[in-house]
Amino acid sequence: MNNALEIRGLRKQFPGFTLQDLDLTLPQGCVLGLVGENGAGKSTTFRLILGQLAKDGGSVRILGRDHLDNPAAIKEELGVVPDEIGLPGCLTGKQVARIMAATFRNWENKTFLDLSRRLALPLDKPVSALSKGNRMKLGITVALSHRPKLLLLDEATSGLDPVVRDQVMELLEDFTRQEDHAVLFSSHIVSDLERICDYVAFLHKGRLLLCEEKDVLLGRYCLARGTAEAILRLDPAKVLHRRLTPFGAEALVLREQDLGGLQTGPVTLEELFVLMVKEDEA
Amino acid sequence: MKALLMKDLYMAKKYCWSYAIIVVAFLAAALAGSSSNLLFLAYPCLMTGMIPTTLLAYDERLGWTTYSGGLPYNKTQLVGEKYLLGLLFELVVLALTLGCFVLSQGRSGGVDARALFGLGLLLFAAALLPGAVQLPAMLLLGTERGRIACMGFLALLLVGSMALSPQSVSGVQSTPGVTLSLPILAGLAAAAILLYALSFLFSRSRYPGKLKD
Repeated sequence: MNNALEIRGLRKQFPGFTLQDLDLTLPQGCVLGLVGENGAGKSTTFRLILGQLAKDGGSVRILGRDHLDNPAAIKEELGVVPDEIGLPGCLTGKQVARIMAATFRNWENKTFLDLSRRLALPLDKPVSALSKGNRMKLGITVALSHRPKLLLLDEATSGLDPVVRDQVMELLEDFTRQEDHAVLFSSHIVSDLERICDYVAFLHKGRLLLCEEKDVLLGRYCLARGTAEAILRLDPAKVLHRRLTPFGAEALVLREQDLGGLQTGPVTLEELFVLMVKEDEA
Repeated sequence: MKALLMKDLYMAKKYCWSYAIIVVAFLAAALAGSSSNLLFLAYPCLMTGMIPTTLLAYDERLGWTTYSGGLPYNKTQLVGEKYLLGLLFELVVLALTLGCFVLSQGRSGGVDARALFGLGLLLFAAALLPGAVQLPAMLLLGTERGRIACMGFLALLLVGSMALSPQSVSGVQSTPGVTLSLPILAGLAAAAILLYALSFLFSRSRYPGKLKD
């Protein structure tokens, strides 16, 4: 399986923030979710991938090519959806389609119209008159209408209502049915990522906490609940984080140990992320 | 390039219609006067030179600058389109301005081809200068600093034009197109074209400059 995106040792320093030696691998046919709190470095990562920021070190390969080697040609195969769709507010959806038809060699107006109908997107209204949800739908429709192989979605579902988010998720699920398609999807709405991601990467304060296959990750950890004494007896090497409260205690632990009589339950990505961040900051 | 031009023409139609009104008003004033007035003739050309930077400011404010970074445009297209757009608008307004000058002169008894040609060269040179100065500043530093550069340029231009032709606005005979010799005006126009081209090359080589970080 080829990799749609390979990032090795990516570094970028700003005053007060450093993205440190980021390694990410996104195989074709997969969805990689990039989870991080606000300011963790997700948007910086996207801008570095797109060459909008000059990197201080490391390498980025998109669909087998260095990202700075003829970037315009590479972007023909990318669908990019930033958190704010920066289409001029005066343009209507139809005008956007005309502009994009002159922008992308592989532009498919039929796909654009089909997706617009499916999402009930009003194409006669100017962008400034569209709701945030509809602007995002327009951005995603544009990103999907030129046969891209890699979608880069930076907080594309933030601020959307659950119905629109569900529609967006359905589109992404359709997109990833083709095995040469891949998606890098950043969000701090972890439930969205949990739904469609094959791989997940946690980014915290510019540092990669982990990058793993989602099912393996969720299978490796569980939440153990019990008394504080029982939780404190667990092997510290196999405990990622403990939380002791007056009402009991819980710990994020590796499954591969004897948990005695402790009550265990599955962990969600969100819990895993929050507890890992807490542990990192402890 | 075609896509970027199309986008900017849509935007110009929406956001720059006031420029068209001012151009028409100034040219009408030039026509209505008893003789050609350099201020009324030159101002539309100078002002048109600001359309690309106005659109650039909208690009930045609306997030297009970031959004276009994910689209398959190269630096030459992103930068060159603004210069090309400025040139296209300039040529249209210059043609209208010279048309007004011809009409105005025709009413006064006859068209002075030498004055027409001279004025054309002078206005063309003057019209390219705002873009040549402002576009690099705004493309590389952002719109706010670019505007400061623009104000400085206009102040310099005002002082320069006063020194060049103190009695310039009283009529055809005192327009610099006649006052200055044609070779000098041709030299000015050539210098303006060269400056515009160098400005483009400089902007392209440094783009996106500070905006990058």
